[in-house]
Amino acid sequence: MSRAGIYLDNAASSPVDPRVVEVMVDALARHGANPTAAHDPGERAADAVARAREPVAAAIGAAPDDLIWTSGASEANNLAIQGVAAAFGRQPGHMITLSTEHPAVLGPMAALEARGWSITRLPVDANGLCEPETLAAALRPDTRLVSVMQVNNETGVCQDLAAIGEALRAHPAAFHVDAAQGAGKLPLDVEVIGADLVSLSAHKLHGPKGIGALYVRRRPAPHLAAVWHGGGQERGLRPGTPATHQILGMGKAYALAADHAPAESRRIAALRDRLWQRLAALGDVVRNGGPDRVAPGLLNVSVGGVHADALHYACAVGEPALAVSRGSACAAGSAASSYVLRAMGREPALAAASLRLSLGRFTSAADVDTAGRAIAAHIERLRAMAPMDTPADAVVA
Amino acid sequence: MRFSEAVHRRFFAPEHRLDALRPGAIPGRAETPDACVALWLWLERDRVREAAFRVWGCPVTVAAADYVCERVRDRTQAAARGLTIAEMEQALSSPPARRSALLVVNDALMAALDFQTVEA
Repeated sequence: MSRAGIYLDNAASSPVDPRVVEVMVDALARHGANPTAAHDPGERAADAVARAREPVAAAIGAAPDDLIWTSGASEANNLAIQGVAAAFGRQPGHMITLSTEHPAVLGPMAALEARGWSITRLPVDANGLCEPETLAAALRPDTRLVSVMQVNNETGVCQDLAAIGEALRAHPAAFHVDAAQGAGKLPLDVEVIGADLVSLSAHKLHGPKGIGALYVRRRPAPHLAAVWHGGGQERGLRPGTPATHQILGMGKAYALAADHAPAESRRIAALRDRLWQRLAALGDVVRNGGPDRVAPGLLNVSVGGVHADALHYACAVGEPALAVSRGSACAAGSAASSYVLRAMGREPALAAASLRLSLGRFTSAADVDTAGRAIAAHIERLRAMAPMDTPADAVVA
Repeated sequence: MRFSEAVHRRFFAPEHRLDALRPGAIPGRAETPDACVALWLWLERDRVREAAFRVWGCPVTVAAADYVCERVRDRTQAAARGLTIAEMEQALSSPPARRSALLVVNDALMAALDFQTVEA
């Protein structure tokens, strides 16, 4: 175990697979030309980019040309949401999402709300799930977009996208899925769920940061307009020279994920369950998200009897140092309790004293056992330090 | 965020955490929505012979409680009352943004000293 400690924050970003690094370094050396240029080096780069689309598209049952490269899932979410809004010009309509969505969905929707759009943020149940009937009941004639994430970034809760897609099938609203946390790890088929727009990430899948994609259905195509303008690349929706090495890295990451799944998912889920059993044995530790609908690599627990800041500090700088998260790494710097856990009904103190432990390809059984022991020791020490039940105003004779 | 060395050391290895309540303890307690501090003083005439704490709070609160227990030991009650937030802040190299953690610990100390005064 290195001084760097144990990395259990793969949901924030996963270490780049060395095989991805190899492909990217090679791409930097070999594909210096602009892949949109009409000459041999440019065409070679374009061919490489085209090949990289295949494993990414295959992960969601799409055709390679259905993908728009972006800088990541956050940009893809923004393009989907703001692009649909832009397509409706000056006529603000209605959008639906969940109260537990990622800030990259809630943020652009809040921005649209400030411009006159009506936004419905649906509640979830104690397990973090949204009932398709609840969503169907919220639809309006002017609903333009419904955005539901595949896997929650804090809890790992997987929404029933097939049922939600079915509930939306008769409505013209576009169906957007933020699949940043699940694509390539869990089955997802755009035809089965009826998705029109799907946001994808590379760095959650042992690929590089700075690259992602938006799936945009071709037939029937959703109402989607460009929100940036330039050279007309990516079907006119995302201007700019394609980042060849990043794209090839993403392609390799998805290809590797396809090679490894589902055996990798089973191994990671087994480690996650082992970690949960270690923590559950302490008592007064609550697992957030129903275990039968949580992605393999995620474990979110709320710990009773300890202060959130103390627990997180102990984990972060204790020995061994544990790279864990209190919730979304994307709510940077926020010490407040998780809005996702609050939406699931957790009390503020319990929602704050939560740990998101996310495992990945390079997490070993030894990592999980060591981390489990360390976290348990921190919790026991902090609980032993807390004021006793004995009223402090009673003098002991 | 990594806290100062003083906070770090006292958070991970406090020397004055109460393990078991012994007879003769004078309690003081203070709470905020974000912290709960219980202090116990053992007095010998006008002097604090020993002090111990329990805390539910952030690392600075834990460290501050440990520091206060160390600081008041073998001091007169009057000297203990003279402990200031500025002194605590300096001793722990704690940033002003964490002053609320020091205040709740100081309140617990004053509650213990007042408790004794009232009872006397």
